[in-house]
Amino acid sequence: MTDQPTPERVTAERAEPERDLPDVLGEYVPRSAVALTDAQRWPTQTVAGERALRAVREHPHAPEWVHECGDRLDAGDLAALADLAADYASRGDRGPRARAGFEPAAPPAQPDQPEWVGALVRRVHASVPRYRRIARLHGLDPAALGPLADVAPIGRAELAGGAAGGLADLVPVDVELDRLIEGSSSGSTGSALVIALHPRSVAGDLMLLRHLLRGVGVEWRPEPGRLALASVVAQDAAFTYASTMSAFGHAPMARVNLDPGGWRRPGDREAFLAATDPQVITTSPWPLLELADLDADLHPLAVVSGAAALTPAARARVRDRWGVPVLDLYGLRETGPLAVSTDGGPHVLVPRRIHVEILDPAGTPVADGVRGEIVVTVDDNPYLPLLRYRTGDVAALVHTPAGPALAGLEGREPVRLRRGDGAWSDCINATQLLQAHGLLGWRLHQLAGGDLTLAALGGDPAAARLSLERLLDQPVTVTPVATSAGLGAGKPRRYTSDLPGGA
Amino acid sequence: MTAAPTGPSVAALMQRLAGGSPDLLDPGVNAVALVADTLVDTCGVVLDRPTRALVRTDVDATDDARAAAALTCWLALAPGLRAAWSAGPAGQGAGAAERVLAAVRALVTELAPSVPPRRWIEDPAGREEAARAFLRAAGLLPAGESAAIAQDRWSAISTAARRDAEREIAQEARRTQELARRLAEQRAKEAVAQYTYV
Repeated sequence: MTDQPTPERVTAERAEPERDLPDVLGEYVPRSAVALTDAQRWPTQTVAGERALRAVREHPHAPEWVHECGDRLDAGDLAALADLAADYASRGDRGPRARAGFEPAAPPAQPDQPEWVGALVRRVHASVPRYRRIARLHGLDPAALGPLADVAPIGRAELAGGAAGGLADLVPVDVELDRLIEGSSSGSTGSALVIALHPRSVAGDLMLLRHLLRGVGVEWRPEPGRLALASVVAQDAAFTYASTMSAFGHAPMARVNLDPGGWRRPGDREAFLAATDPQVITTSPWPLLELADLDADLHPLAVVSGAAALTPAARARVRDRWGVPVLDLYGLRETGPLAVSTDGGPHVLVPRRIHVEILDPAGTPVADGVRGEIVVTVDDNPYLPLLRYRTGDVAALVHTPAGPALAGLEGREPVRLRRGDGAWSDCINATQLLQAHGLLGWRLHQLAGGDLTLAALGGDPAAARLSLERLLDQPVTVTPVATSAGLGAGKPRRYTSDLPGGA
Repeated sequence: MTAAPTGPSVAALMQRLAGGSPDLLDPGVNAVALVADTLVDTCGVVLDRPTRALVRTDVDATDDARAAAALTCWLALAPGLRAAWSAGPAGQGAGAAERVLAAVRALVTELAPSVPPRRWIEDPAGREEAARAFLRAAGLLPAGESAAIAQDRWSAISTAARRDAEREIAQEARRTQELARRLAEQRAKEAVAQYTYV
């Protein structure tokens, strides 16, 4: 690499047309959250990287960039990330498998805790306010701790309240805060959480993606003239930006919004995407389906979907459209990626420093193959080490040739549906039926009287209704919707209920 | 996790401290020799050269350290313990010699700097803290107390634990303010590019 970092310069302000956004979306006013110079956004930027960035920012068909942000990686970060990439590369193409605690082909899936977990338990009890308080209260010596089973699980409630509340209680006192970046996790219910991110941990996702793609036979290397990655959303208002990825050869990426309101002229959206032809598309199911319907000539190497369940029908649609691997990535913003499904089957745990347990409502581990809440211990983000964090999501841990995996993954706050005879039915039963009828997405709501309403995207809604009525012995009203917008804004919940005990 | 063996009661050890000779506080006491003799008396172990050097580093550091070592040996030789060191529960698990040495090290290096040894004899609170510190360091439960009760009472009496807790709580309060300040700064507000949707 002969390129030299560019000298610091302040980003030139470009005149932006005002968008007519509601007041509540004021944060999306172009560049309202911009605070840094380009040199601070990309401390190791190269001449070639800056050139690529400018080409994307100033592309004749570019959207109205609403934001600017970089990866904030310094030379130390790049060295650490190179080590991480080498570590992944040394695994070859064995597919996802956890770095520690899991031996290939070694049931049971719910393993003993890996060695690093004991060290994390001790470190957290010595440095994290919430756990130091527990140690003080019970006279525990952090150095003598270790078993995770002795640690009470926590959840979103413990993180809530922002910097003065739960977050400060979970950030170690011995970590310098000078690299701190505010993140948020909206989840699908409740108000957003403020979380603390470290640039190196965020960029670690990129190394993981490369590894996961290698596992499905895709060698992802930057290609001049193309976006290495496009992060795609489809919402009324969203942050959009162009960036370069310092830990990936300073290759360009962009976050784009498929909503037509974010583009300057009709046709720009399709023209920009076709011209920049992103190598890897990361998105969530609804934008992905919109993108698949878009008249744009794209040649992605792979597609990575997250944030919500990718139905088999949606997966098939994407495969038919581009004929490339489709990864369904599961995780939470506060934990990072946890598991991936490359074939529509169980989500295999990814090789990060994560330890997954499946617990019953009383907090007791369940047997392999039994559904329960996914509870995760993560040692990746120096600002937010997590011990037994309740995800609110439900699955069973099973053993697969690729390693331990989450089967029957259902989103947070699983809903029970009440049958006509008063018995409860786990929503996983409805999921299996609706998937079998080819629905791309749905929203199933049970009213207080027991009747159900189904908003159905794609597939055979009429047949789905009959199956649901047979399953639940309750009347179902079905409404076919033409687009994902008909399923609700944001990250829609697939199941809701007005019944006491249902949700 | 096996339960700690039971030693004498706190009251018995407090009584022994109250009856300790003022000579034990004499700065001229040969603390290393006293520790070596105590090991022989309690469990028949002769202090080897490297361990003797380590003990010397601890117990010969100050007058208070020498006095603390002497008083610890005085406790180790309590009638209620002598039999236990060699044949009873105190001699099992971690060996008796290790328990005695751990008690010497803890009382000399941790307790003496915050509670002067003179108070271990003269002040009831000082006596109780020294007695409990001895039993904790030796890995023994006070007779008549469960582990939880012993811990509660230790937390209530322990000067060092109280100071540590106060220091930790103050540090955590400062940290909360610093975190809020950092998050309020624009440099934290401008996001980093995200690669995945999870």
